[in-house]
Amino acid sequence: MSEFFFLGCSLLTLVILGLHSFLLKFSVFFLLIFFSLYSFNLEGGKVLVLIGVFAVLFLLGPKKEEQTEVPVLSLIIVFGIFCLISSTNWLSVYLAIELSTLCFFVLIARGSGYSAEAGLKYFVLGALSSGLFLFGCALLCGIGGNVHLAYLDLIINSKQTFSDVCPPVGYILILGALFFKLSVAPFHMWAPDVYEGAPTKIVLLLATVPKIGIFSLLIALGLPVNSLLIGVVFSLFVGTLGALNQTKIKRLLAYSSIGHMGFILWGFESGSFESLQASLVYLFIYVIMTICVFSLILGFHLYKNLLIEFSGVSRFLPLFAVTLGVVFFSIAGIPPFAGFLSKWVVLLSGVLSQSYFVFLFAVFCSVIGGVYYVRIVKILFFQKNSYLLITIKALRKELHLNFKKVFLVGLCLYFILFLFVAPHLGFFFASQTIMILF
Amino acid sequence: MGVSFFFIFGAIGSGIMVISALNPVFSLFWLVIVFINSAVFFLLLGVDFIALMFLLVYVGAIAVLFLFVIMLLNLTDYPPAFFKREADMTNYIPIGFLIGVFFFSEASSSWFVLGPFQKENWDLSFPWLIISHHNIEALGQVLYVVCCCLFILASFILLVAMIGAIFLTQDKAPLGKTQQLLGG
Repeated sequence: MSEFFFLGCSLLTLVILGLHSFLLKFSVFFLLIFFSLYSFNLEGGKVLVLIGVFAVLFLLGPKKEEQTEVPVLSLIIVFGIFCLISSTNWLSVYLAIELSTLCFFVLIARGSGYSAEAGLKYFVLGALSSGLFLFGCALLCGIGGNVHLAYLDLIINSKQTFSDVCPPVGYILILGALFFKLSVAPFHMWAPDVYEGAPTKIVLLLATVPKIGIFSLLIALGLPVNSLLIGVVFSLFVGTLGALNQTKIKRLLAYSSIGHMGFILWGFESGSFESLQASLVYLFIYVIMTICVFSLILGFHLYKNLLIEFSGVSRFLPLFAVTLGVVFFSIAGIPPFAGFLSKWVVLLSGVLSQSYFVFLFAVFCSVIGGVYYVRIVKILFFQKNSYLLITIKALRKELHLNFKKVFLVGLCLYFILFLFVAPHLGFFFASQTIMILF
Repeated sequence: MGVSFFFIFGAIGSGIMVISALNPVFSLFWLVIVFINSAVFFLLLGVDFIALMFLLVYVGAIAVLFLFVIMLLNLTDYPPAFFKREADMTNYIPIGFLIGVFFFSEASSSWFVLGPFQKENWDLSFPWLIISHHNIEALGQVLYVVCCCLFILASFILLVAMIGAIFLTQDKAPLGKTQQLLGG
C-alpha cells in the first residue's frame, strides 16, 4: 500500500512538470527510468508495461496535443496499470481499471473520423463491464466477507485441487468483465471498431498495456479454469475466421490480437509452471511484434487504412516491404522468427498438460490464420497498383519514417529475427516473474 | 414490520406505474417515488448511508438528468409503445424473466448462506464489525483511515475526468479563413 503513495507522489511531480510542455520529454524519460529501477525487482509485468509505453512516447509527433496532453494521460495509464498489477483487494483493482479505462476513453475519442464513435463504444461497453465487475465483487464479498483477493481464494479453494473448483457466479461475472477488457472472444465486439476508429498511436497503447495488467490480475486471482477454456476456444475461432474477410489493416490487427489473446489465455488455463512461463514469453513477443507492426504502419502513412494501399510496395520501397513481410510472417508463426517460438512454447506446454483437443484446434486455427497474414505479404510483393491508388499515392508523401520510428522498428526487429537463436533472455525473465507467484 | 411491507409494496406498485404511465414525465415522477420508497425501506433496515445515497444520487442527480433529457427530446407527441397495437411487448418477457430469476436467486442465495448463523432476525446492520458506531461514522472511519490510499486513487480518477473534459472540448485545429458576408 505504501507503494501507492510512492507512485502517487511521483505522478504528481510528473503532472506538475508536464504543465511546462518543454520539460515534458525529459521529465517523462527521467521518471520512467526511475519507475523501472524501482519496479524491476517486483513484477515482470511492469517491465512489459514500460516497454509498451516507451514505444508510444517514442512515437509521439511534434503536434501540440501530442506534446502535452497525450503523454500525461498515457503516464496516468501506466500509473493505473501499475496499481492494478500490485493491488491486493477488489476495491483497488476496480479503481485501477477505471483509471486506465477513463484515460483510454479520452485518448480514443480525441481523434479524427470515426474516433468519437469508437470512444463512445469503448466508454459504454467499458461501463457495462465495470457494472458486471462490481456486481461480481459484491457477490464474492458477500460469500467471503472481505475485500482481499487472497481471502476469498482461501475459502473457495481450500480443499479441492486447482482444476476442479466449481466457480461461484461472482467469479463468472468478474471473468466476463475482464474478458471485455482483454477483448477475449465472447466479449470481443468492441475491439475491431475501436481499433479502426482510434488514432494509431493510441491503438498501439491499447493493444499492449491494459492487456498486460489484466493478465497479471488473472494470474493473481484463483482461476476458474473451465470458464477460461471457453474464452480460449472462442477467441481462437473468432480471431481466425473474423480476420479472413477484412479489408482494413487495423481491423485485421484487432482480430489478430483476439487470436493472440486466445493463445496467451490458454497458457494461463493450463496453470502449470511451464505453461505460465510460456504464456508470459508469448506476451513479451506479442508486445514486441505489436510495437513493430504499428510503428511500420505509422511510418507508411496510409490514406484510408486499406490493405490494398500496400499493393506493390516492394517495387519502390524494397527494404520497407521486406521488413513488413518479416513482421507479418512472424505474427503468422513461420519458423525462423520469434512468433513461431512463442506459439511453439505455448503449444508444447498444452501438450504436456495433455489437452490434446485444444492443441489440435489451436494448430488448426493458426494454420487458417496464416492465410490472411500471408495474404498481406502477397499484396506487398505481387499485387499491381490499381489506377485509382496511383493517383492517391501521387498526391502524398510516401514515407514518414524518422529516426525514432526506424530505431524502434530496428530494435523490435532484432528481437523478432534473433530471439529464436538465443531465447534464454525471455525465458529467464519469464521464469523470474513466475517464481514470485509461487 | 408492517411499515416496511407498506414501503416494499409501494416501491413495487410505483415501479409498475413507471412502465405503464402514459406521459413520460409522469413515469419519471413515479420513478422518483420508487427511489424514495426504497430509501425509506433501507432506513428501516438500519442502513442509513445507502438510504441517503439513494436520495442524493438517484433523486437528486439522476432523476433530474432524466427529466432534462425528456424535456429536450420532446416525446409528448408520440403515444407510448405499450398502447400501440403493433408493438408486441411479449418479446421482452423471456429476457426479463431470466434477469429477474438471476437477481432473485442471487439475493436469496446470500440469505440462505447467512441464514444458519442468525435465525432470529434479518438485520443488515448486525454483522458489522464496528457495531458501536453510527452507520455513516463507521463507513467514514473505514474510508478515510483504512482505505486512504484508495481514496487518493479515486481522486486521481476525478483528475483524469477534469483533464479529459478540457482535452475533448478544446478546438482541434484553428478554423480556416471564411468569407464574412454582409447582412448574413
